Amino acid sequence: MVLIGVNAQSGWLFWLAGMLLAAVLVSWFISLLEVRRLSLIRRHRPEIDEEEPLRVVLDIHNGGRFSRNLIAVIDEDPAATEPRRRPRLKAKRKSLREHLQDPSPPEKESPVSSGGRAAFLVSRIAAEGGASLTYQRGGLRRGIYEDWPCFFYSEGIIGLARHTSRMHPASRLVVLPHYAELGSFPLVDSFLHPHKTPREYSSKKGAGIDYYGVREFRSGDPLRHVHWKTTARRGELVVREFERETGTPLVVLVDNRVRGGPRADFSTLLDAEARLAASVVHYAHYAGHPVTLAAFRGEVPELYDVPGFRAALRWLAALQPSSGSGLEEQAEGLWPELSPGCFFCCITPARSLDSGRFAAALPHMCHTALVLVDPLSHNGNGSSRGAGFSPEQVVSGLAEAPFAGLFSVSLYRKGDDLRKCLEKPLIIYGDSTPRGR
Amino acid sequence: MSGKTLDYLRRLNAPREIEDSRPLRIAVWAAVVISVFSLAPQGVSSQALVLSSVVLISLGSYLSWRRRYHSNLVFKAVIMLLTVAALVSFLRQVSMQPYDPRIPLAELFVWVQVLHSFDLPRGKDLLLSLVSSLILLALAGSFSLSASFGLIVLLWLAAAIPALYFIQQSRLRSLSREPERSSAPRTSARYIAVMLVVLMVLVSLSGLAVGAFMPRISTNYLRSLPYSIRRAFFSSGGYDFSNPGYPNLPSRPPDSALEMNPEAYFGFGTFLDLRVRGTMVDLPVMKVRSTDPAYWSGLSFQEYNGYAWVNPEEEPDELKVSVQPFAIGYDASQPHSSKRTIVQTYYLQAEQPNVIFAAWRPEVLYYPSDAVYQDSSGLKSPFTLDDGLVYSVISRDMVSSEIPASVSLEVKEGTLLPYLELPQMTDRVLELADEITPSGAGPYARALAIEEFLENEYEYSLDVPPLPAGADAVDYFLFEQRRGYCEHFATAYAVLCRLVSVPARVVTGYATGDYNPFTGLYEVSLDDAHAWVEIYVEGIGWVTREPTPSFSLPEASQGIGALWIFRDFFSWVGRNLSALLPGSLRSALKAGFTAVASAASALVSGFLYSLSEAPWLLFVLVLVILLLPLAWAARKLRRAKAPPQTQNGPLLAMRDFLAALSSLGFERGRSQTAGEFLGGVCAVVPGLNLSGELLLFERARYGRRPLPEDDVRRLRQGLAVALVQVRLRAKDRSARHDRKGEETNP
Repeated sequence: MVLIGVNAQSGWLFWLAGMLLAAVLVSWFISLLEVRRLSLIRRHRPEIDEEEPLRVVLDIHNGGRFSRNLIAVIDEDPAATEPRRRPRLKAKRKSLREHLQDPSPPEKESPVSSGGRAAFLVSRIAAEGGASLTYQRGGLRRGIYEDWPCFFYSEGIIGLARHTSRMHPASRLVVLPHYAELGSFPLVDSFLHPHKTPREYSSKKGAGIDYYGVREFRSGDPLRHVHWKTTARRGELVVREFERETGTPLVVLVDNRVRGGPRADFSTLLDAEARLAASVVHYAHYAGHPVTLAAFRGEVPELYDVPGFRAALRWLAALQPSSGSGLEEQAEGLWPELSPGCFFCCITPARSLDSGRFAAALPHMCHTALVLVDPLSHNGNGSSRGAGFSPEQVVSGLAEAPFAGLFSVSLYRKGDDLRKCLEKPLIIYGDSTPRGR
Repeated sequence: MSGKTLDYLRRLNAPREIEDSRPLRIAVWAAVVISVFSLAPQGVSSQALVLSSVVLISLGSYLSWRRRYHSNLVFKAVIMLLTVAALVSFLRQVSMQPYDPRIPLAELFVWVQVLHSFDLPRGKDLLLSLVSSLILLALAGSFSLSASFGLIVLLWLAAAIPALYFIQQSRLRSLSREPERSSAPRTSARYIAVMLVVLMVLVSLSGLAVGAFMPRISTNYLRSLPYSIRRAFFSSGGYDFSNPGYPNLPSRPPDSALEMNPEAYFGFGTFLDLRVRGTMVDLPVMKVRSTDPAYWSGLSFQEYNGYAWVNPEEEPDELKVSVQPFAIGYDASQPHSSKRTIVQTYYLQAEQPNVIFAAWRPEVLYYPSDAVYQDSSGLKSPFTLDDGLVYSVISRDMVSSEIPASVSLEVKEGTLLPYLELPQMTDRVLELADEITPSGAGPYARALAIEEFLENEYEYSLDVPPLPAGADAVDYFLFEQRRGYCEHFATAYAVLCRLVSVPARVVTGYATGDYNPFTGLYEVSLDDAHAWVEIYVEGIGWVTREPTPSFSLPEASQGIGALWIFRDFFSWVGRNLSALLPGSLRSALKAGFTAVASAASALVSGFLYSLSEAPWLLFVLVLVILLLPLAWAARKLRRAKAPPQTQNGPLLAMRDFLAALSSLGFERGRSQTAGEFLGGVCAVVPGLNLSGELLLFERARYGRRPLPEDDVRRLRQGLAVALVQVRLRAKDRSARHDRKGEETNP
């Protein structure tokens, strides 16, 4: 307009250009002022299950002397891993190719199902006033999320400029791994029902499930252990105290070492391992067995004697991938912690295993259950890049019990039923005859 | 067509992002209608076209609102065909009239608005309509010659700002989700209206400020300057002078004074009668767009006869062109040097004599005729200048203030002889001429001395007695009357110059007029009719001089004339406001505005001067201006990358405490809450109890209000004490471990 004004030497065009420039400047100032003096508190439950939607309440307070108008409140995705730049509200666009293939408009995603950034428009926040927004968010992965940012976004009322202010409201969210309530887990069941397991694999302590006393009920004790007669007599809940309760613990090793391939794919794999571990721990713990969780941080093993199931879930929620080497080295690293005759559940990606070395790392008479997780099905693009083998090959390599002490082998693929996978392993060794599914 | 193709087309045309906001549609409709209406007063489009367009736009807007959820394939096809037709028509008109495509462009945009209004389902379409209306408004503005266009701009702004607000609201709403629950108050219509009014006032005032300080760069035209966009070319029928205000003007001065017509200037004729008395009314005459302020010369007069100025009876030369512009030639024996180019466009608003007004010295002329005429008195038109006539001139001149007073070349008479001739003057006039000019001074210095004398010794007044019969006008003015108006001063100056051998001639025309900062035009009215003098300076040419007191030559002040208009803007505001105010307040305001304008002008001049003296300063300024945004951006980036630093005292204290515990071997697991971890520590360290400190920490971390200072202090102290206990315990354990080691390995 200035150029045309110069060319036509028209005074009004300069004024119109000035008016437009002034509109941009006014919009810029307003957008700058609109996002100042705003504070936000985020409220939500401190812990949720992986598959549970999270209800979030955002309490916004305007400490300024003027109302705020047309403010977008953008609550960032807690699980966002990319650098958190200031957001821009833009409509989702298809590429030309996508548009030619399917000219329908792109669908809006809701944070309930898919996660991601959640943006809400607040038409007005009065001066010295506030507003409260409640929404649900889903698609959260296992993990601990703290202080993820929230943004106030303004486009200066007339949309000619924009400003964003970033908040870091104090929040701590623990997303616990999902678990299945198992009806049985053969390795653990061999504690309780050794007559059902091959004699040579049964525990040496005690031949049956006879208890040697009662004690008062403690939180977490399964109801099936309640001694009702004594309870009726005493007037308080008492449970059977089994010999095995102070006996051999179950050690659950979660293989969290990244070995090749994208880290994002391994995170998905680790999530699956955490769910499997949670299911096993849930079963064993409520069956009354002490459980120890193990993982590695670098070269250092991290062990956790599970005080309660909730604590175990939290531990599993915090589990992060670690760089490192194979399962054999991990077993060697755990050797001082495993006692002879212990029960050992190893949850690991299905990769080729040096059985001899692995077995050598385990203590004498250690009963081992291998729960293999198929990395191919958890791979983002489904490719077998970096694998060099298939899970079926790994399982078939274990068909003949490669070492004494190997109790069962399970294989979990993405989308499989957790319960079915753990309750009915692919192979249970015993009587020298592996029983397949 | 196969089913698949039909389905594809159906999906392609499926309504999407439909805009349901009624206020938005009404605001956009209002903006479009205002922009179309703005064309009519400027003469760009006929009223019939404008009215019919508005009706069609209204109908189209209504239909597109009603049918916004339909695919409207038939509408789209018809719109496409008609748009192509409009484009073809535009191109045809431009090819026929290539010198100014603005009118065909305006018509094209009107058609675009009409057709587009029938298919406005989405917010983007409405935004496009709004932008088109801005273009139409700009087109109308490029034609506008009056300040009243500002009202149209304000009206358009009153529609456009709400439209932008509603577009923004709608857009943000579509990009956001609906929360499950929201306690945000609904915005009432009254609140929105008040907010938009405030916004409009802000934008208008800021726009005035920005517009006032925006430089008006005076580079020019693409192909040609404007001249009568709506008049057909007239074929010339020879030259015959005509002054509509004096239809029966004789060719020579009559015996008695000419009777004055207050609605016309008597100075445009074959003679300038110095006996005329009276005042003229304030009627608009013309508007001039010029790159520099100047006097708009009409006629110059050569011969003085004691009571009038006359021109020789000569047949003017006819200048003909087949392709514009006219190149104006001059006597080669009168060379002219120039440093300044003034480009002017004249928009006539009242009928004027057939004199072509132009700043001295016109060299290029764009005129709606195939011929013009030129003689010693100036440029002449074959027809009188009607209301609505437009023509352009390029003049080249010297800025008078740049001519050194020491110019000493005396004139060689030759063709300048007529400008030195005088009738027999009285002795006292001759003596006066000798007295007031310094001896030995050059011709230019002599002329300046005469000018100064007249300005200081004589008074400008419109109340002048009639010239007695037989008296010489100059003698009577200088020694009896001692006051007069511009014709008297000009005459006296010209005569005195001639007496000291400086060629001089009286020129009649119009003074600069009032500059309107909005239109960028000089508004010339009848009472700006003026007479001044041109003197010939050897080696330079004819130079304009102004001998009348309270008038000054319109020169660009300190080199920032037409570029910066804020001084003119403030003057205009002051002038118009003062008309509404009582006299005393008016004077005070005038002084105030003048002071502000002068201060601002001085500030800018001083700044520009310092830049010219110290060019490195400009470099430093540019460097600072470039670096500042970079530094700001770098700071923003640093803040974005840096982890959020907590300034919260209790959190810092707890963080330090945990770090100290970690160094003593008490490592907190990632999944452990502070309570769980500290509980574990307390279990290991006998006598340690951190429940109080834990409570304070949790209040600080998760509470809504910050902790009071006392509590923060209590927390810090508690943690410090606890750390001492833990250290003692760790030391004790270490000592026992060492002793055990010694016992097993003596």
